[in-house]
Amino acid sequence: MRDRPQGHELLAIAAKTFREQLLPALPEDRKYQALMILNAMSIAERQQEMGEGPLNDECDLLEVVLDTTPKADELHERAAELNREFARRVRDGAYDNDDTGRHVLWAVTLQKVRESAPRYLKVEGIED
Amino acid sequence: MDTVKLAEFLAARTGAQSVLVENTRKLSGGAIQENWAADLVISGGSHDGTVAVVVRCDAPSGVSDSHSRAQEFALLKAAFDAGVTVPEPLWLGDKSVFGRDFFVMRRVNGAAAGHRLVKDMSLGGDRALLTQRLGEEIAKIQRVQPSAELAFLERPDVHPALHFIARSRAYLDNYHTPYPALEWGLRWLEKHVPDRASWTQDQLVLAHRDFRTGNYMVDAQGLTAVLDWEFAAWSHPLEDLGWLCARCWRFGQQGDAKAAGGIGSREDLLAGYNRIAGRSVSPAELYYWEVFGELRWAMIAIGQGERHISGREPSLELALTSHIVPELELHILRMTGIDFSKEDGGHA
Repeated sequence: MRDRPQGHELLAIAAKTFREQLLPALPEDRKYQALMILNAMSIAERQQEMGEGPLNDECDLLEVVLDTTPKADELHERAAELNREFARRVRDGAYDNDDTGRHVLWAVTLQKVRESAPRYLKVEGIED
Repeated sequence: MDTVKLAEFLAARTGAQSVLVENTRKLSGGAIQENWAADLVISGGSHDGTVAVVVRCDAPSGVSDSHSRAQEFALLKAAFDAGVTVPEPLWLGDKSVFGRDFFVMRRVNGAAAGHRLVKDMSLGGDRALLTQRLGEEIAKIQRVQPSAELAFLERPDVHPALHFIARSRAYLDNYHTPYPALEWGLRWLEKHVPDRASWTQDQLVLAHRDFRTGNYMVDAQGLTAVLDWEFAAWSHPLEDLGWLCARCWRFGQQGDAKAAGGIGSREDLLAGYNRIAGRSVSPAELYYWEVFGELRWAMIAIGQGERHISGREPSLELALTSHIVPELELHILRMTGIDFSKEDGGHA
């Protein structure tokens, strides 16, 4: 068992300190770089905090919609294999008029945005 | 940059008795090219007087697959001659002068930063007029005719949208990460090409292909220069218009009133375009090319991110560009009939 604070908690307090105490002291021409660092830390923090749960869910969802079991065992390899097959079928038009496939497409993309750019979801009124 | 050698070159080219190169200072630039501002004090010859210029040259270790300086010069000249607002290209030099390829263009003043331009109303003059002007510029670019000097520009051998779709699929087939949502978007583009049946290759026009806020300069009165021509190629007449209106280039501005580059409306943009092009393109006709713009930016973002991921060019900015792709993907889904943020789920 890992002692707390764990990775995402450390990233959160590091980002807070950086934002509140270092950022205001930086010259204007360095702020863009500083904001990029904060953005990178937030993405890493969200990925750590969410853990592997969403990726597991995604694999389960894809196995159902594709009606297939991937050869790979390791989670990330499974996800890659399933997504590649899903992408191939999307290209071939398998889900042009298939609501289940479209739901899965929405769900897997939405989860990526939750980690990479949750601001988009807020601005567009999709999630708070 | 060797200013003595440059002065000798300029004296020979202008027929001047003497040329002084003064106030040289390095402007923003990248790993590939350098830009130097300079004031030329020219005595006699074709350009007698003081000329404010920018010298654009290869960086000392610049290795590039983008256009060469000679190609950029030819492109700027063609655009300038067609009436596009670009810095006037003055003289083209080569390695024999000071060891690097370069050209000299007239210096233009103004600000380009996109996030500043969309908010700072002291820049750009009247925004409706500026937006119309952008449409006029896109139409003027399309007046440029093919020539031997421009033979280096890429020319698709099928409808430009189908060309992009095929190229994107080939890239994704060899990429380590699959993108089902982009595949959906590419499929949508393939199925919805508005002018597939009527398209003929003689409709190809010169397109800037990165005509967006951030890539043109304005002063307090209005537009002063269209910049960054390295993506230029022969393409579809609506590509530049759609690119400028794509959500990704609005710098956070919301609503149809700011759809064109975060600056103005599609209606104003098209009023300017149609006036010069003699056409009657409607805002609805841009939709396909706005979706196309989102897809194209997503593909470029993947490529930029890969420069970091592969270890070739470690960079935080490139690394973060990869993480722009998911929101582009979700937006593409929403534009193409998949939106389950609301109860009904949308329809294609």
